[in-house]
Amino acid sequence: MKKRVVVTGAGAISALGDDPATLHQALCLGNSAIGPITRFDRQNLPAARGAEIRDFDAKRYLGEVNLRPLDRTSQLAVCGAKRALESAGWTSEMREVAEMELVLGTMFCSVRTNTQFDRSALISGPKHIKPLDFANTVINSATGQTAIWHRLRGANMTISAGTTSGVHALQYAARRVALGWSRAVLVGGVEELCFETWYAFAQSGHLAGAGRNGGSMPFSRGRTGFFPGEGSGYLVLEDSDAATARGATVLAEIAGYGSSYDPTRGANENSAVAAGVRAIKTALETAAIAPEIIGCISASGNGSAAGDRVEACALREIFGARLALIPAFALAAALGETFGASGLLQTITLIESARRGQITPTHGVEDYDETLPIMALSSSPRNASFDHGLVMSNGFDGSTVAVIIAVSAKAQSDG
Amino acid sequence: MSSITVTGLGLVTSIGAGVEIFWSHLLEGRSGFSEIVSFDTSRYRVHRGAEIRDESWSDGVLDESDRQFGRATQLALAASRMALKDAGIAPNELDPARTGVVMGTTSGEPHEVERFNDLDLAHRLDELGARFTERYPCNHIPGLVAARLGVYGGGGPVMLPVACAAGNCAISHAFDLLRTGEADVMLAGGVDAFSRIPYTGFAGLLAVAPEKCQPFDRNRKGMIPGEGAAILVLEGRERAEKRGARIYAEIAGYGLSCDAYHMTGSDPDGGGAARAMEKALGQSGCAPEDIDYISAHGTGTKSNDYHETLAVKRVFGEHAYRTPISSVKSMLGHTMGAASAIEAAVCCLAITHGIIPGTMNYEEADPECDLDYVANAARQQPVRVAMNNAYAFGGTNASLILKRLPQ
Repeated sequence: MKKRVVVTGAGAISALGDDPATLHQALCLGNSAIGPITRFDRQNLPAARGAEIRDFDAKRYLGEVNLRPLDRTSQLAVCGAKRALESAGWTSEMREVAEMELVLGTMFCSVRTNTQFDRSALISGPKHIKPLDFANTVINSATGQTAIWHRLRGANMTISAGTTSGVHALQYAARRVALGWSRAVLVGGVEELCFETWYAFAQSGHLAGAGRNGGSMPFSRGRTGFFPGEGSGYLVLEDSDAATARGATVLAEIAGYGSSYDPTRGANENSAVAAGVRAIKTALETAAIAPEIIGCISASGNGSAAGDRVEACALREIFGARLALIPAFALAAALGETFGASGLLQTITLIESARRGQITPTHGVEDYDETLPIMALSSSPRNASFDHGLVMSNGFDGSTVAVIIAVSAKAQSDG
Repeated sequence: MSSITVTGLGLVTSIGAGVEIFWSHLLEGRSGFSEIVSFDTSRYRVHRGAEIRDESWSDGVLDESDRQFGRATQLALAASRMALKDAGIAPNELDPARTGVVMGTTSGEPHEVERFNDLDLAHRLDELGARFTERYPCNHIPGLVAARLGVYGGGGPVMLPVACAAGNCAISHAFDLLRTGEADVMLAGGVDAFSRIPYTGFAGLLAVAPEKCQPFDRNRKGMIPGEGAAILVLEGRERAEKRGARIYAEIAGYGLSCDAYHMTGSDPDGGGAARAMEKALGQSGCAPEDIDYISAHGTGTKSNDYHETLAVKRVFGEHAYRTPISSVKSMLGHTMGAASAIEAAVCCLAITHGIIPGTMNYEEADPECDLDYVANAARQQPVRVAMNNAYAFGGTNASLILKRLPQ
C-alpha cells in the first residue's frame, strides 16, 4: 500500500526573501524583484532586466568557508537546502543515519560554468583548464555539491524538464516516499540568472519588452514575455508515519500529482490545452478529490502570450465557471521566471498562503486579458482559508505538471 | 505486480549500430578508438576518442526533417526507433497516453555551448538566434523523441542528467513508472554526443589514456571519451507475452546512493558504491551469490577501477572472486550518459545468449584489482542474473539488476 507523503520543512533563496515567511510578506506588501540586471559586465547590449538576487552572499548561510568549489547555481542550491533542512529539524546525525535522499530539478544548471570552462580552454589552451571548474560543468553539479555539503548519502537525482523541472522533481520525490524506497527526501529546484540564459532568451524572443510594470504582466493584456529570475526552493518530504513518530511539524501533504505532455510542443493550442487538462485530471484522481475541493491555484503564468492562454484554458476546462472564483496567484509577476526553481517556489508560497490565511497577490495584474478565461487573480493580498491548493507548471515545450497540496488542519492531524 | 521486462534494444555506438552488429562486434572485441576528427586536438596532450565514424547509423532511421536537431537528439531518436523495431512495435501501435520516454545524459547538446563561445569570440554572438534555447536545455532530447513518436504518457518526457550514471537512473525511473501503472510501455536509456568540453575536462584531469582503454590492467592509463546512445523498450510481462514479444530479461530492481564525498573522486572505502549494490540486491530479493555477471563501470582510470573492485569485494565477499566482471568501455570508451544504458543492453544480451563480453586490452594483472575480469575474450557462460553498475560525477551511484525470466 502506498504511503502518505507529508511536507515537514521548506526553504527558499529568492529575490524577495530567504525563507517562506519573508517571501510571503514581501509579496503581500506588493514588492517586485524585477529591475535592471547588474551582474552582467557586457558592453554594447540593450539594457537587461530581470529578477536577480542582488545581495546574495552564501557566507551569510554557510559561515566563513571556502566557496571556491561552488558556482552560483551550487551556492543557491546549497544555501536553500540548508534553510529547508533547518526548517524540518533534520540534523546532520539524522541525515547520516537515514541516508536522506536529494532530488533537484534544474533547467540549465551549469550552463554558466560550462560556457566559461569552454571559453577559458579556447583562450588559454586546453592544458590550462581548472579541474575544479570541469567538475561543475555537468548538469548534476549542484545536486552533487549539495549532497557533499550536507552529507546526503541516499539517491542523488537530477531532473530536467524545462521550467517544469522543479515540480517534476517534486513528483519523483513524492513517488519514492510513497513507494517506500525513501524515508525522507530533500527535494528542490534551482536556477541562476546568468548572461548566457538571458542572452539566449533575448535572441529567441521570449523576454518581456517594455510596458507597464516593466512589461511583466502574467495573464494581462499586452503581455510580451517573461523576465528571467533566479533562486532555489526546497521541501522536505517524509513518510507520514515516520514524520509523526519523530514528532515533526507537518506543514502540508502531497495529496496528488499528474503530468503530461503536448507532443506538438505548443504548435497546436488545443493539443497544448489537452495536455494541461490531462495533468490536472490525473492529479485530482490520485488525490481522490473533486475539482470543487480546490481552494487556491498557484499559477505558472509568466507573461508568455501563448503559455498563459493555454494554462487559463486548461484550468477553465477543469473548473468551469468556478475558475473565476478560485483565488489564484502568479508568482512570476514579482519573481520573474525562475525556471527550475519556479515550481518549488510556487509550492512554498501556496503552503505559506494557506498557513497564514492570506493569499499572495499577483504584482501588476490590474489589466487582466479578458480574451482569456477569467481567473481570480488580484493585485492585493486576500484573506482566505482553503484545504487544498493546486500548483500548476507549464513548460515552453509541451511539459505540464499539476500538484495538489493538502494544507487543512484536518490533513495535518490525520497525517 | 507484473514483472517488468525488456523487449527491445536500440543501440548506436562507435563499434556499430543495431543489436546484431553491435553484439557481434562486441564479442569479437572490436575497438571504437580512433584519432579525433570532430574538433582540433593539436593543443591537447591526447588525441584519441571513440567517435562514431560510420555515419550510416542514421540511414533509413532518420529522415531529412530529423536532421534539424542536435547530434545527441538524433542519436537518441535513432536508438529509440531501432528499439521499437527490435521490440516488434510499429510506431502507430503505441498508445500515446500510455507510452513514455525517459532518458539520461551527461552533457545534453554541448555543441550549443561551443557554438555560443565560437560566435562570441568571433564577435558574432548576435547570430545566436533561437537555436540555443531550442536545443540546449537537455530535456529537449526526450521531448523531441516523444514528439516524433507522438507519445505523451508516463507523465511526459523527462531527462535525468545524472552524468555517467544517467542511463541506469533513467531505466530505474521507467521501471517505477511501469510498476505504479503510470505507463504501459517506456522507452528508457541514455545518450551523449562527442564534444570538446568533456574531452577537455578529462584530458585536463589527466584521466584520458593516449592509445587504448585498459580497465583493471596494472598499467591502465585512463579512460577514453566516446559517444553513443542506447534505448530499452520496457513493458510488463503480461503485455509482452500477450503480444508474443521476445523478452530479453526482466528488471529485478535497482539501488541508488551518493558518496557525498567528492565531486570527481571516489569514496575511499568504496562504501557509496557498495550501498547502491546492496540496495539493488535488497530490492531484487537477490543474494550476492545469485549474481552471475557484473557489468562494471570500469572506466580504465586508476582510481575508478581500484575503488570499484574494493566495493564489489565489500558486497560480494568471497563470491567476488567467482563472479565474472567485465567492462565494455575497453571497446566503446566511456560514452558518458549513454554508458550504463549501453551496458544494461549488454546485460540483456548476455542473459539471452549466455555469453559474457570480455574486458579487452588486458595485459598485466594488478595486485589491487584481483578479480575475474573476463580478460581479452568473450566467454560462453549462462547468465541468470546480471548486475549493472554505474558511477558519476557528484558521487552518484546507480546499480541495476536484470534477470532471465523464469520459463
